[in-house]
Amino acid sequence: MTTHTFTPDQSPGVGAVRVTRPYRAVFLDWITTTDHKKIGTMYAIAASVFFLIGGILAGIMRIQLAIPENDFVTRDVFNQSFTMHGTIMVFLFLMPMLAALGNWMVPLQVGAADMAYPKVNALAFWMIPLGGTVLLLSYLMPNGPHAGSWVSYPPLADVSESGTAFLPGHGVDLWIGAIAILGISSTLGSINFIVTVYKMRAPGMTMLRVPIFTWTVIVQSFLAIFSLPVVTAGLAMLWISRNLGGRFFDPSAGGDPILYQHIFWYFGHPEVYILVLPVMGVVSEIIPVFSRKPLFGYKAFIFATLSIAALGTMVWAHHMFTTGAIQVHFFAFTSFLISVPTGVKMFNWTATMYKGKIEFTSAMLFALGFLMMFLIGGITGVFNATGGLDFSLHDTYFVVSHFHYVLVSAALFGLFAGFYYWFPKMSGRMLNETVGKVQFVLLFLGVNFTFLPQMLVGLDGMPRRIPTYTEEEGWGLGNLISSYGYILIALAAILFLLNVLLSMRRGKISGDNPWDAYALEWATSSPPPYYNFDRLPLIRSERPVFDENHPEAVATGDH
Amino acid sequence: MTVMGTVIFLASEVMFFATLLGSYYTLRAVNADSWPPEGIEPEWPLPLLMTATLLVSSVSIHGAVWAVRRDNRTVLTSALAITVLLGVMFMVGEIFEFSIAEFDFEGWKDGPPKGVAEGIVPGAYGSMFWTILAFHGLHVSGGIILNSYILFSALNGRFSSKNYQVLESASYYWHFVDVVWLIVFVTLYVVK
Amino acid sequence: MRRSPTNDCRIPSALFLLLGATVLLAGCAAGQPDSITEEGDSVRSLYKWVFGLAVLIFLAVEGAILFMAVKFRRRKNDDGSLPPQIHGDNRLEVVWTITPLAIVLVLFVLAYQNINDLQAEVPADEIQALVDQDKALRVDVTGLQWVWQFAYPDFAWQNSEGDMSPVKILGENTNTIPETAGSVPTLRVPLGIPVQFKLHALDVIHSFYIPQTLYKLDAVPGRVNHFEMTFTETGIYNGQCAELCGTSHADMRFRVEVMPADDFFAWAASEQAKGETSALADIAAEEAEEAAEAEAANDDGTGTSANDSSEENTESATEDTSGTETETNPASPGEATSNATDTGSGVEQADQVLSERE
Repeated sequence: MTTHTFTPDQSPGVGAVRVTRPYRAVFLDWITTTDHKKIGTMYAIAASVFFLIGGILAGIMRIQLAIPENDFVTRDVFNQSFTMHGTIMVFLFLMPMLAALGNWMVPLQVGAADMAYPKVNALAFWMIPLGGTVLLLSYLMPNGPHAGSWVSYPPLADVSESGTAFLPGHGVDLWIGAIAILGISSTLGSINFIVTVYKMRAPGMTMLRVPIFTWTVIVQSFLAIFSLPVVTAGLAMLWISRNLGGRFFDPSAGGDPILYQHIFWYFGHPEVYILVLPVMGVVSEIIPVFSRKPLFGYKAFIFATLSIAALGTMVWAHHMFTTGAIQVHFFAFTSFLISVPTGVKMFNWTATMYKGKIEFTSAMLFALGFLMMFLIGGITGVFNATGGLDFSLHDTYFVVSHFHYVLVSAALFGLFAGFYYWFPKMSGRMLNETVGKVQFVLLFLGVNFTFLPQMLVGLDGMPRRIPTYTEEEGWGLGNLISSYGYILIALAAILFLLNVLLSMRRGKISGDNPWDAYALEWATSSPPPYYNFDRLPLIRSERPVFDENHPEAVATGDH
Repeated sequence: MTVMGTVIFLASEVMFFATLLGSYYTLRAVNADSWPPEGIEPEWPLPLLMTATLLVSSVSIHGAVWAVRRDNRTVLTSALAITVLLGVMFMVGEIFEFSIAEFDFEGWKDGPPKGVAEGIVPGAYGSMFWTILAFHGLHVSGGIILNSYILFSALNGRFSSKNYQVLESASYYWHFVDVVWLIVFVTLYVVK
Repeated sequence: MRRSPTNDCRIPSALFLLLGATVLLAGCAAGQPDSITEEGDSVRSLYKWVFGLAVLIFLAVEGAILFMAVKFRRRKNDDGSLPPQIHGDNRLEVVWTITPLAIVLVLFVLAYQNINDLQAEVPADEIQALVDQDKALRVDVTGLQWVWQFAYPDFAWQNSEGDMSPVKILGENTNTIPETAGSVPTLRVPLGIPVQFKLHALDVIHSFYIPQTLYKLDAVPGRVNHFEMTFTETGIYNGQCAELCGTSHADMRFRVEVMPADDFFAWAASEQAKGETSALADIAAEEAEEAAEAEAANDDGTGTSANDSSEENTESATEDTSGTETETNPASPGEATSNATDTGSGVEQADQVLSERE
């Protein structure tokens, strides 16, 4: 099919290095590498480690909440657990994991030899373990880690008028430091992605021939650049308040606690799209390939992505309706509008399957799972956007359920889909498809068993961030089911890890393009050589590899 | 390519300062009748001088870029040296501002000045004022280090009309710091 | 071309259908609690609209996904040819941009009216007149780590000096009040007339949330948020802080007892009388005889229709006086009402007292 000369075992990719060179050299090679593929792999490993930590924290919460008035952990440990769970899952699992996929695939998809700034890329990666270590160090501090939730609203995360901290110790300070480090890492990574795509595309690849995953990574990068510095500034102010006597958020000295919320959510809402957009890109790669059709409405899809990003910067205050300091009508309106481009995407994905020949590989199943779960996340979002309903739903488990349907569908369904799809490219071997299907069933059941009951107890009025509840409130059954669901999700995640570890050594050799896929990454060997491409196909559409492999479709003008 | 990366990086820096300045104006609106608080009247002559210093340094670093495009090494190195020197002068001025200030993040340094009641503290105003100045000062300091590094590279024969991306990027950064100062100056000393 | 013939769509489609049905059934069975206020009824009716539309959209889109997935699966006898390569259709894109836009515009109109309903309040210049005729009530709610305190600014019994605000009463406490943390105070409100809540916070942000009212609002330091409700059902309801406020956030509970308006004002008047008595006594005997004051209040506090609450009130007054000596008005019944009791549930304790007496 393609004419390269490399076989998987000779190239310096993931699967090969371990057998050919001594341990020490391999180690040095990995920690000094600037190769985007190795950095991508390291991102994935780091993110997986933090996923396990974040998952264990979630487990602690689910055990504590499984029955009413449980005393498995103290209130403080519970508060620390959800704070760290949120922070780790957002900043140390999802963002690095998306960076892993981006690092691996963006240069390959645009036909470049590496990222634009390989050294900056390595620096950005090494800031992830650094930031993670700073964050986890707080477990060794006298008062333990930050316990004021990932939003860290002052005055709770700040000091009181008399100067004593509501959350004593240095948990909050280390948390601020970690977020600053991770934010800078992410900013550097984003700059790298944008310049790579802008400057290093292969000949013939116009912006409207760039694969959709890369498109979403670019839009994500712009969102990161315009939102991460905002929270960095806000957290700098919080740090000054805690340590140098600043009074930004202290109403008794002219400050305003609501100001912090504006700053935080001006970052916090685009952050959701930072986490979700690339996953939408992943799904938009997978559904066309396994339907054997092009993505329906490629341009409309790009336009919808841009609209989501633009609207996403105008809706932040819908997180603050209940502060009483917000123009509710306006933010309800803009929040409603976001559902329009999201709906366009949903319809495009569905229409892509129309008249296709759909193959239910694990990747496709997870992609479909993403569509179905993300739809629930999106629809429940409309409830919150109405403003009036949000006054009853805000800060209840309904919201918890809503954003877990969004983020878990992104984090688990979307990323699993991506890894089942791209693992052959990364390693030269296939992941086990049977395990993939078992894992899909477990995850699908797990997610719904975990988060659907949370939605119901939330509607019934159970607030979030509470370590205990009384029996008379009647939330016991829902929480118990939710806790059992957690076990299913955990099983699915462990199965995936085992699948990766075993398949790296024993998986079926995949060949260069096992899926007969479309985008440029499939034009090189699996895994790709150090410099990525021996030759490039002609790029005349957004599906160059398809055009090359299916001249019959091109000849009839049906491409 | 370095230039493009720098420009995007500066976009993120713009957001950083926009947040601080936005916070300043928000708190100013919240405390409309006591902003700046009684007893504080930011003195503008020294900052105006500092503004002039920084503006001239912007011209001089542009001169360095102009020179490197024509491979004029004398003008290049002297323009860079002037830029570094002016940057240092600016920082001296800013540190002097810090040293003579009557208030810091928290409140009065040595109790309220004459004629100001005990209860009136600079509070949020002082916090905003010094945070903005301090972060701008940090950026200027970073720029001075960057410019010094570039000056030494130039003295060692680096940069030519075919290779001056790093210099050009540094000049963009320096212009950015200059523009931010103009806004900071107008905000803290003119609009107040 | 290497293609693994994995065409088994039975598992996914069966699973999808099963879970689709589960989600739907759960959704139908679910819902918000029945509202106990007029404003909550507005939220409830909006909820019904949004929920109905959500179910329709959910069914349509999930149905479309499932239909496509099953109908266009690759068949066993597939010849390996490519399906038609459809790249898109601009008319369709326009259709499915405009349709959701129309839906959300309709939703926005509904939401807009609902927001107005929630934000509507009796004008400031009219509320006083209504309050004087017992046709409205004002309540000051104060949140602090980790207890709620309630006071009625229009009833002078709350303290001995007239119209002191609850913030002033508690101004001494900045950080924590361990002896009251975890108590469950009860707020009594009348049925059928507007109740205006003013929310204060002394330390960090709290959120005043009664699930059955389908409403919550934050108590933010440095701000006084206010809202109005007209209760439509009598009964005792749970409330809870909904904004993380520190270690014992989950223990910051309270109860709301909605009483018929006549009963409420009768109870309020009797409490007021008692409060004035005790205030006079307070002035007369300054720091001494605190226990005796409570005794006196106890003797007075019978014979009203809501005497269970006065029982609780005096009970807690006693405990209050013994517990905190620095309070400015230790025996003030209003404050005692708001502080309720130290341990467990005030209402339970009051019930206990009542049953003992019976």
